[in-house]
Amino acid sequence: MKVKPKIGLISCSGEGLSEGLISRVATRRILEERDDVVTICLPLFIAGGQEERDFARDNPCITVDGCSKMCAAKGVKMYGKVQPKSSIIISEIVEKDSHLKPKSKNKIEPEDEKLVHETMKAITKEIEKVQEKDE
Amino acid sequence: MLVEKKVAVAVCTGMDKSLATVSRYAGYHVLEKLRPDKTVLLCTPALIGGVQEDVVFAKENPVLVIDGCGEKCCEKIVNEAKGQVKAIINVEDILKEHKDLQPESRAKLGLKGLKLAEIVGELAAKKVDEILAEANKSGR
Repeated sequence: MKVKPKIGLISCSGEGLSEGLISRVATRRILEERDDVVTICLPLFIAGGQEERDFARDNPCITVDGCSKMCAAKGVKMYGKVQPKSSIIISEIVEKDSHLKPKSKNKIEPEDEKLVHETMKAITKEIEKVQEKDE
Repeated sequence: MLVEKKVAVAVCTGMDKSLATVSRYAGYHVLEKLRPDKTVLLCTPALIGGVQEDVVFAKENPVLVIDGCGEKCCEKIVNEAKGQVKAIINVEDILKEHKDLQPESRAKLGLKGLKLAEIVGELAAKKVDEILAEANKSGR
């Protein structure tokens, strides 16, 4: 039996934009729902965490960025020397429906739940795509 | 005209540990409540992503680092970007002095964790004042 590798989710950990918070919350909720994913701590990855970098080299990773600066995806490429299997950008989800634009950087308001949910849906879709490709 | 310096506050942005969440909340406390006119939030991943605005700000302004644990990721990232680190607070060290304030989880700090964040925030505010006093003394 082939053991499926766990997928690493690397969330934007930015503090400057409210989309950074959405990224973290959506990623964390996916982690709590599924046992086939793990998170990689982006700051530790960037600062030289060998365990994190080894995981990214040996396993498929999906980055969840808050904005088009794509710091998580860039960090993985620059410091892990690997290409993420997939990259999600939350500001692109917001562009499709401007009502989803979050306001607070440190608190999920009830009206932000829809964006968290949409982001979780996007992450789930990408996880399934990556798993299909690996089969 | 003399442009007043602000302190760039860089917080641990990790997702793995509750101490990272304490660091983040302590950052909000000093930035939004205690010293809003004297501080600016620094986005550490953006430093590594090479976002020019953030890199220049970290080089030209004093930086206060609030790290979550002994990995010291935030300090390492700011140093890597050649930022001017002027003071460092490590939440893990503060927790050793307040062992009863263990946060609940990375997603929910609970009352004790929030209290710890406030203590770290107050310490950060003191550091901000010291950094700016030193900068004014040396005229930088």
